[in-house]
Amino acid sequence: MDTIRTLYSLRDIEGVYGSFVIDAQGQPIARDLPPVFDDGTLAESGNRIVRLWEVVSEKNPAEYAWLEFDEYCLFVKGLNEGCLCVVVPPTVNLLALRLASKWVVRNLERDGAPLAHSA
Amino acid sequence: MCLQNLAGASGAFLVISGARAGLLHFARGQLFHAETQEQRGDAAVLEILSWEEGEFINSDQPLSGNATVSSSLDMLLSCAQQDSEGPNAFERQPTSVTGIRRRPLDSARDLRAAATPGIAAAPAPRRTNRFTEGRGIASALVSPGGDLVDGHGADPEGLAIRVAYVARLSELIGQAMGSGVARALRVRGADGDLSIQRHPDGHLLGTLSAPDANLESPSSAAARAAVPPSSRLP
Repeated sequence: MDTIRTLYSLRDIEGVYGSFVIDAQGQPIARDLPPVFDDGTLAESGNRIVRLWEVVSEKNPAEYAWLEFDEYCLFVKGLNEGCLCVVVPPTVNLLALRLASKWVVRNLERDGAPLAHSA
Repeated sequence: MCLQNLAGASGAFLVISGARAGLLHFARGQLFHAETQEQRGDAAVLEILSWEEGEFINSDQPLSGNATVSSSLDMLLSCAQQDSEGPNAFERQPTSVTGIRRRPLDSARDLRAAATPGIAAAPAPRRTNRFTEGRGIASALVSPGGDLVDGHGADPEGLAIRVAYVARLSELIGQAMGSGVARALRVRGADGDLSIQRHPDGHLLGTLSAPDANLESPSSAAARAAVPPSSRLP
C-alpha cells in the first residue's frame, strides 16, 4: 500500500482533517492534508514537533502526544525515524484514532525508505 | 474558584454543608490541598463537590505544608460532573459507613457559581475524562517567566524544565500551523502520563501521573469509550 493511501486510511476516523509524516530532521516526507497547510508550514512546525517528541520520550517511551490548540488538535505518534502527525478536532474518538494510527505506523515502518519520495 | 485561579490568590477556604466541613487550600491560585473528615486530596475535593449546598468561608488556617491534590481543579470539576453518571476514578466508592451522597447533575456548576458570584453562573463546560485517570507522581507550577512557582513529588524542578520547554514548543507549533493558542498537552507514556495545562494568566501546570492499572483493563477502556465527545480542555 502506498504512503498516501496509508495516511488516507486515517480519515476513516470521524473528524480527522488530515495527516502528515515528518522525518527525523522534521522535514515533511508525506502528507494527506488540505492545501491550507503548505509545505513551508509543515517544515517550520516539523522541526519543533520532532524536538518535542524527543523531549517527551526522553525518560519515558511515549505512545502518543496530544496537543490542543484553539482551532484544532494535533495527535503525534513516533516512528522509527520521525513522527506521524494527525490533525483532528478535539471531539475525535481518541481510542479509535490510537488504534488506527498504530496500524498506519506499522505500515509506514514496514514500507520504510519509499516514504522520502511520497510527499 | 475560577476567581481564585485568575487572581492567583493564596489562602484556605472552609466549606460548610450542614454537619459536614471541608478545607480547600490554594497557593497562587492553585488548589493544592483539600481535606474533609474522611478524605484527603482529590477524593476530598470530589467529596466537597458532591455536597448539594455549602457555605464558603475564608479561613485563617495556615496553609498546609503538604500537597495532596494532584489534579487540576478543572479536571476535578469535570470528573465530578461525570461522576453523576458513573463511578469515579478518584473517589472512594460511597458506602453506608461514609454516607457520601452522589450529587445531582448540577452541583459542580452550583459550586462554581457559589464560589464566583456573577462570574460562573453558566454551566461549566463539559469535558472529557479521557485524561483524568492515573495517580499523581509529581506536579510543577511554572510562571509565565519560566520560574518554578510550586512543585510537589519527585523532581519537580526537572518536571518544570520539561513543562516550560515543551509548552514553548507547542506554542511555536501552533503559531507555525496557524492553529491558535496552545491550550493543553498530554503525553501518554508506558510508565506514566504527562499533562500540561495553560492557565488564563499564563501559568503552566504540569502533572506527571502513573497510569491506573485498573483503568487499562478492556472493561475500563470500554467504559472510557462510552464517554461522549467533549468540549475543549481549558
